[in-house]
Amino acid sequence: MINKKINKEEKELVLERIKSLSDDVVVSVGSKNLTKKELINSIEKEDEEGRDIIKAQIEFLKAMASGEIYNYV
Amino acid sequence: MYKCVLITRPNHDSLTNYLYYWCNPVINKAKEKGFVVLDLNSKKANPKNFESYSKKNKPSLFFLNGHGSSVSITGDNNTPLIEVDKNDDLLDKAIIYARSCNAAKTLGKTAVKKGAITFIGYIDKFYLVYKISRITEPLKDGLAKLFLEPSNLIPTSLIKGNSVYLAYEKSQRAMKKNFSYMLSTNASKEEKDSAFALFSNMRSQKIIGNNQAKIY
Repeated sequence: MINKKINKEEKELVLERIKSLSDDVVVSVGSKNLTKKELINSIEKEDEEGRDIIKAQIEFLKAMASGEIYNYV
Repeated sequence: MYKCVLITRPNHDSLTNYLYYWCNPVINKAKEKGFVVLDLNSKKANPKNFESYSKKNKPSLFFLNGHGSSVSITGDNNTPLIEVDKNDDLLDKAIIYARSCNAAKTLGKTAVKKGAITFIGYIDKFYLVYKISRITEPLKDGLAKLFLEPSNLIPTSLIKGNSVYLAYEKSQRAMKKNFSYMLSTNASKEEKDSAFALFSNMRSQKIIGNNQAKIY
């Protein structure tokens, strides 16, 4: 994951989703606890946590689109 | 079998603070069921205590909370308590539930190869989403509850004498129920926005080793 190139469109999509988050939430990922502002910064920089968030969000959206999500509800 | 659970729950940042408090219901259940509870909390979650308590008491269940990687799980101030090819044999003959990132990926496998009965953990990141406005009272944070209540079902179910597989199924079912709710129109915006994280936890939670094992 660390060395995998980030798809620019996926990154933009995730950034927009994160920008719409409530200011009251913190996402704990790895050893970091990130506020909305810090999440945006991490994604823009494509650091480890930013890459993890992009991966998790895209997997979720793909599962929604493919219908895989219905295996989990 | 000796009914003894060793719990590590450091408390040095906001994630570990949440995990720390959410261990309380598990500790209460263990005591109610007559377990000896070795509670390595806060600064007590250090390598020296972990090694001595593990060797002396040979717990039947390890419930490890804290930051982790594919090769280690840490305690107070992110100091490794258990590491691949260093001291993973301390988990010999035990069932382990690791509420930390990535540990099932490599550490879980090496621990089972070295004699652990079963390792339950996450092969990817363990996500928790919580509210800044509830940070001083983690047990009252309804958003965090959607993540931590299902994960507590692994140790509480094992403590009740259920098999690893049943404990895992109960946890998965509870995550699915919460996930379904988070996608529904009844969920708040924060809850809907956090669904991706619970989805990741559901897919990443794995059993390594004997899934029919029980503590007693």
